[in-house]
Amino acid sequence: MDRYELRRLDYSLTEDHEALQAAYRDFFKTHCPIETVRAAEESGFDKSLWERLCTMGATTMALPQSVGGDGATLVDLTLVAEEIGRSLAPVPWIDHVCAARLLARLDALEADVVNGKQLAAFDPQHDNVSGVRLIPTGSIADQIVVRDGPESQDIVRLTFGTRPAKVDNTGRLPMAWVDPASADSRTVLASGTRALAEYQRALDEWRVLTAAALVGLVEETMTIAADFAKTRYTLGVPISTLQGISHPLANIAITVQGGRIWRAAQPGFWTTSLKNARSWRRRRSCSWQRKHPRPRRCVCMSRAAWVFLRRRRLRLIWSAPAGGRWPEATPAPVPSTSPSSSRRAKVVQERAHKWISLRFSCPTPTRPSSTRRATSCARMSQTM
Amino acid sequence: MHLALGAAGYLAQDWKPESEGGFDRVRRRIWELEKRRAHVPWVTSGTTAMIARSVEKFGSSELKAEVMPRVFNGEVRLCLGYTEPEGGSDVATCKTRAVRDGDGWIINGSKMFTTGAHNCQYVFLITNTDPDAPKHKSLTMFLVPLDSPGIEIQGIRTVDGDRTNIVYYSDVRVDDKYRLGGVNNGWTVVREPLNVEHGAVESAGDGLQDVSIMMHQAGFMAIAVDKAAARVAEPDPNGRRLIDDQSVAYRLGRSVARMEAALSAPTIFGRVALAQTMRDISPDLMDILGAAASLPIGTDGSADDGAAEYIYRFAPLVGIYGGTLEVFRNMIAQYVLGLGKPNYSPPTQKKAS
Repeated sequence: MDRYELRRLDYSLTEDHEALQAAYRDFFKTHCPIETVRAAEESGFDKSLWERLCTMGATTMALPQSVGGDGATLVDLTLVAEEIGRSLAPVPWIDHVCAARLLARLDALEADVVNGKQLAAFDPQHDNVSGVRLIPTGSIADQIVVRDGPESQDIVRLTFGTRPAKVDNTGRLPMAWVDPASADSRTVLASGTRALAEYQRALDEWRVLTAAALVGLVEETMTIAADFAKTRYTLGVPISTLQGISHPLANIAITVQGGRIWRAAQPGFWTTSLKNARSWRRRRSCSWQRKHPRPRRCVCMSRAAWVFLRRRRLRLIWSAPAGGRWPEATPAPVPSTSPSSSRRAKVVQERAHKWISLRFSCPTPTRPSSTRRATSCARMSQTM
Repeated sequence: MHLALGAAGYLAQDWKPESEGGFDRVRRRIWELEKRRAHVPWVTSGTTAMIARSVEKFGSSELKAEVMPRVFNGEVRLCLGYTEPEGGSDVATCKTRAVRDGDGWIINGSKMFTTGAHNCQYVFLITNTDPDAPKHKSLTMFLVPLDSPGIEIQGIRTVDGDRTNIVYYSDVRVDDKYRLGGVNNGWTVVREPLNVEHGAVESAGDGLQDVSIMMHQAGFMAIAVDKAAARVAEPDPNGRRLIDDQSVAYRLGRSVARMEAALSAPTIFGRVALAQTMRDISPDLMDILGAAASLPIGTDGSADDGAAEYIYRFAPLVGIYGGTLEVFRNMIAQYVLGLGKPNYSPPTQKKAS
């Protein structure tokens, strides 16, 4: 490998990417507050949120146009996954789209899977692929795609008359033990080397999207922690100004930045999704940097077609009347980098307090105000 | 080397904008990369370019006429005189005094880590000209000729095999024309190159530049990792390969993952990630390669021609150059996360007052 690369791939986002990201960030901000996440802990699934998400086209976009999808790239999907992780949305989108994309490649996709009416599950485990296994979305899926058969050479679709029971788990996922032998129907979709390669690709995609969701989750958690640290005082100063607190948070910021770009550069995807390298613009700039000039876009027919399709879809999203609660067609709200002065900071702060009070069962202030909280926290830390 | 680059016209092309015959962006990138590939001794070319810009911006026309033409042909190299023996990374803490004396100034004090002083003609010196003023309003910058009487340069060997210097200034007289910027206005002058050194410069979108600074140093890490990866795949006389041992595979894989993430992290995030990763993975690489990894570059029988051993010694320095890792974590905490300005005053003093 030549380590003296002339031109680095530029991973910063295009305008289309940013529009997509903003649309989904808005969507989850509006429809998936922390209360929604908490309410879904029991089942691990919020059906109405899922239906709303499907109406927005989140499942359809992930599939090729040949099967009625919108042909999004993996980069587009990572943007959606990041927002799912950021909001902890209790929807099985990652598993579903990876399974659906696999089914499309195997020519076994049904129309109701494309639009998300039928939920498809997927076994993302690398090893132990025979017999009974834990499937992350096994308790809510209508069909489950697994490797099975002699030496796990078959790709099999399972359906159950009664869905497998959910087991409690730390991730609050709709997880279930699934036994292929006890399925009510068992269809071998494909076998052999090519089929297994497709399954492996689905597994790779699942990992990339899960990594993207984790980037979003870690970034949001970091923001909550950072905003909370600004409200807690010890020895007369906010704990956020102490290096014992600020440096671990800075390390997380570094992890998020490195993780965001690296996952986009996963080697497995150079061949499959990097045909249009210029769409992989993913560099973020620091708050004090001026935004760099946008590079010229490489236009090709398929690209143009996709941009058109997405624009159409975004227009649909922005103008969709369902419930009358779709966000207006306003520019993307850029996350503030000086949250202390923004409204968002307040929201995050409140969320942090709720989060913490839920976690440690202490009362949430009924009318939280940052000054009150700061003084009460200062008092708390003095008595500690 | 430096003179040869000057004679070939590269230094002038490096300096000048494209419209005046300088490198275009592709050529500039090639120039940077090929210097790296060839391991050109580079420290003073970086500082020379940096300081020359300050001379261009803040120097008198007389000084510019004296210095600038010789910067282009390579005869003049410039080094930084910032850190003091008792100071840390905060360059504004300065005890070296400059006192007005007729048309000139008398300088007394000492500077640590004046890297390249023994190869340079001038030092970009921070002095204190008003000990009673707040520290950012007490500084004045000079471009001091290193052949001035009263200057003593002592070499200091560093753990990465390089040389830096401590420079003593005893009643050094410099003419006022060597002053850069206003008296007590040195902080403005000093910040120009610091901004460059900290990597807080705007980036272009064409991919023809590093995503963060310290990529040059990171290149050594990438080469060491590649060498280790090649080495562990070589079979021994019994056909056994190191990589067949799963603990080797795990540790190498973990190191590669850390490194690639660091190489991808932009701006100051990358700055911290690279230096920290270099510190963290170099011992692992040496462990993987075994005892012969402890033999330095150019030693017979070394496992990887000392590549991992070199970054093991180099890493602590990379985390200090241009401000420590802690300074950059402070910057991320303060400017990116908005966590507030660190307060270093001892709490007990506060209570007493």
